[in-house]
Amino acid sequence: MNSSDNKIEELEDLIELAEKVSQNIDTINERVRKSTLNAFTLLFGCIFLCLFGFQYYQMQDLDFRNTYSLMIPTLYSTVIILFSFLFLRLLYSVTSMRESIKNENLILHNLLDMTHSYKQVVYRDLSVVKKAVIDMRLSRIKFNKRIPKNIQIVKKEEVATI
Amino acid sequence: MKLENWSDIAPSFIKVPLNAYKYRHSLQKWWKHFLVYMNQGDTNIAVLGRPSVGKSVLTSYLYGETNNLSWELPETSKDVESSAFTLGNWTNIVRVIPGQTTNERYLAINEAFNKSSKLEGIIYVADWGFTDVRDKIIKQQMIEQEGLETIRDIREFNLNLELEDFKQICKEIEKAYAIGKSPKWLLIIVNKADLFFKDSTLNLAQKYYHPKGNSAFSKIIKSTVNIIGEQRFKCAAIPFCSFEKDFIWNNEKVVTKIGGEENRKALMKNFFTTVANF
Repeated sequence: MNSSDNKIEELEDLIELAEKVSQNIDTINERVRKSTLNAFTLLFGCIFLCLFGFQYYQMQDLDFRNTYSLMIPTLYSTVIILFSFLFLRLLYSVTSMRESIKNENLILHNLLDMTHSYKQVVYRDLSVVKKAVIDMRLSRIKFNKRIPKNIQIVKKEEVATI
Repeated sequence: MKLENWSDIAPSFIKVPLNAYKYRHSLQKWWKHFLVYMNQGDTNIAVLGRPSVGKSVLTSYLYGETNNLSWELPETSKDVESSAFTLGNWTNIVRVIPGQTTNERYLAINEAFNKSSKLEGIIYVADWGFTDVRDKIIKQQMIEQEGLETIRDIREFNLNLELEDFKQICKEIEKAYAIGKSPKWLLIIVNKADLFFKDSTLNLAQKYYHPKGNSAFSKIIKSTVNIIGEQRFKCAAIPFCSFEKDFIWNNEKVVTKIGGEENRKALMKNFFTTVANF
């Protein structure tokens, strides 16, 4: 394999990585969306249960000597605590997923500069068809992924020193 | 009763359209700003060019943002940058399309050339080969393995890539005409003029980019103008300097030599005069 083939292979590796990272961000974004929706459903469920229970037991006289009348509020509270726990768990997973998106975005940003600079180097050795294929593959990748406002892109040199 | 304006005698319900007509430029300006804010509206002016030639800096400079102390050199543009820009009486939506082959560029070019029915003109930003490579690792490889050791080598390399890119843009213009869209003008802005701001070199750059010259670049313009027709499509090339910065490549250095703010302003004035004459 000569050096020109090597360079083309390296460029393809970069593009493949960019495709994977871009796809990964989309997948995580989708999961964040689903988890947020689930978390809010749980939150509203909790609020509804609390309000309903409060209203219901306001109308009833609770007899604490009766085991049966105590069982229902106990079960009720357990369900609410379980819901709250699940809600917190989902919130935690959303935060950690956002952290992953931040890292993937950083990689994608670096890949954008790297792939295009390297493409220019390799361009001389490419056939017209190969050039078209590479351009098509690149034009499918969305490099502008939504980055939360508090994230700053760290330059490669800074990453290296970290 | 003294009548200052004849329209004063008109009943108030007629004054609404009269005032709307009177303030049509301001109304159009705020409408365009609203469209830009909503990321809607057809592109009026498309700014194109290779990566790192200074498209974003150019628009920031035209907006006067570069004078702010908080302004910093932008990173690689990942998405299309839209802004409303007033040239003469009317405001245009200017879209800076990223130089890298990305999904955003592909969609923006498609919107500007195939969908937009209001594309007035195209600004192609060139830099006479003084394009820096953003990625340090690739830059090192270009110097060590590709034999691009001197500024002369990298400029030649960049000029060849610029030709390829410009050919593609000209093809897009020809295709737009073929489907009935009609951008009226093409302005080639030769940015980073501070690096070659000397009579002899400026003349060389002018010869290279002039639509009626004999260089490879001029030939591409000529071919496109011949297909479309000189009366329908106007072309011009002007030097410009949006930001002063030395060009460094493998320990070689080209120092910025614009010679003061006065010259930069003269270049900017030339830009506005050229656009107004289109």
